[in-house]
Amino acid sequence: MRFATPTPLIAMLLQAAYDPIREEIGRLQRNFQGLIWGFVAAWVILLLYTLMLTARERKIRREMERLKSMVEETEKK
Amino acid sequence: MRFVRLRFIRQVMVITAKDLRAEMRTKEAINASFAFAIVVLLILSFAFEPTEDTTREISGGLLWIVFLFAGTLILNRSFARELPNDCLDALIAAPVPGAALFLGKGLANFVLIFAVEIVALPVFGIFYNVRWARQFWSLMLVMVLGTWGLTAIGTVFGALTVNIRLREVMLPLLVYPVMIPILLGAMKLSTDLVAGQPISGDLVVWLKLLFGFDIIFTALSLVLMDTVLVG
Amino acid sequence: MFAMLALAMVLLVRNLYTISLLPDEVNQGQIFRIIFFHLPAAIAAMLGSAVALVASVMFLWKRNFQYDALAVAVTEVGLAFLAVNLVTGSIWAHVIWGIWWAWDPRLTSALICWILYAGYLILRQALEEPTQRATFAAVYSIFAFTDVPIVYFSIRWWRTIHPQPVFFSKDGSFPPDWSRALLINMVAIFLLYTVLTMIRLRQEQTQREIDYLRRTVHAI
Repeated sequence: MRFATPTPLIAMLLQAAYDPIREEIGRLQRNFQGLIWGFVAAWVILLLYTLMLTARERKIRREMERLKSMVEETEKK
Repeated sequence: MRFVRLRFIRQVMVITAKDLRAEMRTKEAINASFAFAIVVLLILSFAFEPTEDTTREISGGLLWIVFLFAGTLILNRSFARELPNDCLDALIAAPVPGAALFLGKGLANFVLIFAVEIVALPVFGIFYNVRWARQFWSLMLVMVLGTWGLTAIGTVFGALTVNIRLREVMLPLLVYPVMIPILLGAMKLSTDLVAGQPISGDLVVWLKLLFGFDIIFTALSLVLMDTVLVG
Repeated sequence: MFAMLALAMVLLVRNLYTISLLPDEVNQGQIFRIIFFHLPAAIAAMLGSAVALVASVMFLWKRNFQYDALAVAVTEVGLAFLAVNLVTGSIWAHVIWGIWWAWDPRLTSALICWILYAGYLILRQALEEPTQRATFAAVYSIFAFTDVPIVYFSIRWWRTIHPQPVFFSKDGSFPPDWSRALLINMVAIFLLYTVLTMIRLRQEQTQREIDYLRRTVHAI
């Protein structure tokens, strides 16, 4: 059985040293991504609600115009 | 003073008696409720393999799901029964305080729902092969407290939803979330009681929760019943 | 009102800048900064439900429809903010613990709170007559509020996986610049809540005018 030659051995040792670092980088990335998603989610929800409000506002305004014109018509008669 | 209070109790008793008599003559709600409880127990037994351990873990939850569904049938019927022939208007116009109406109907509903529960328990024991009577009186206490919570909320919301369209859907939809603190306490206690453990230590907190919420909901219902009826 | 909105926006943008400059929290890393939205949204929603309770009781007492309009506005906006709270909490949980949801007392009671107030809106939709709608919704709102104290105190009463309070408790260890940033963000979110409520309130009153006009037109 041949012993491992120096170069692969060094490669293996370097790999072992880098693994925790890579893990930490992955964790930080996931962490940061989570933060971004969190902010996005918060603002998206508030935005959706604001859009709902504006849609209702438009509908109400239209209804109001319609009714006002109807009242004017019937008063004119 | 004592005269007035006696009259109040008599009013409550009259209303309870009227409701129970009406129900006993037709037996429509209570029969449907019995049948529904047994069917639900049956179907839930297909949902999982009732081995000793699984049954012990979920017994409380399962029992109270059955009680909840069966009770909702009775609660729905309670005010719906008053709709034809303007009976509801007659009730509202009667010189009876709202609190008396609430207690009267509430007691009647309680008796009916409790009757269904008492029958459902042995059926549960048979279907799932569970000896549920080991802590009998504690279990009865928990059932009384939990059922009264369900009845109190269900009676007020029954009056609230009686004239809404989709009444049969709205009542459970509104009652179940409000019931959740009571259900939680009742389920946890029932699971341990059916398994044979007495109420002690941790479980006493749940009993206090159950009791506390019963008092809160009963107080709120007594005060708000007039508002709900008159609209 | 637009002054308030502008102020809220300015505060939030400034806070974004401040938050990004804050030093990292040791245990949890970047994700911890989500607390700047998670906590104010929760407090805003709970205050909102308290306002809804008061408005409901006042309506039942005085029968003034302004209170009913306030109750509906505050509850609706509160639903949005409670949703923000639940979603940001869920994302936070996924990053820290790897799970999206857990059935522990605080999360469960918060979710039930959301469902209860959603039920409030569904009840309002099912009732058409305005007085009946306002009355029954007010009664329901009073019952629904019984869950809110549970949400707040569930951390103290039960063992939960939700973190213990660090800001307003004695053994909270928070550096002062974090607290200040959180306070500013809280003010900004409260302002946002108020602005949205005012918009919704005005819509409710316009709707009432429309109903009145409609009845007038059909009567003529």
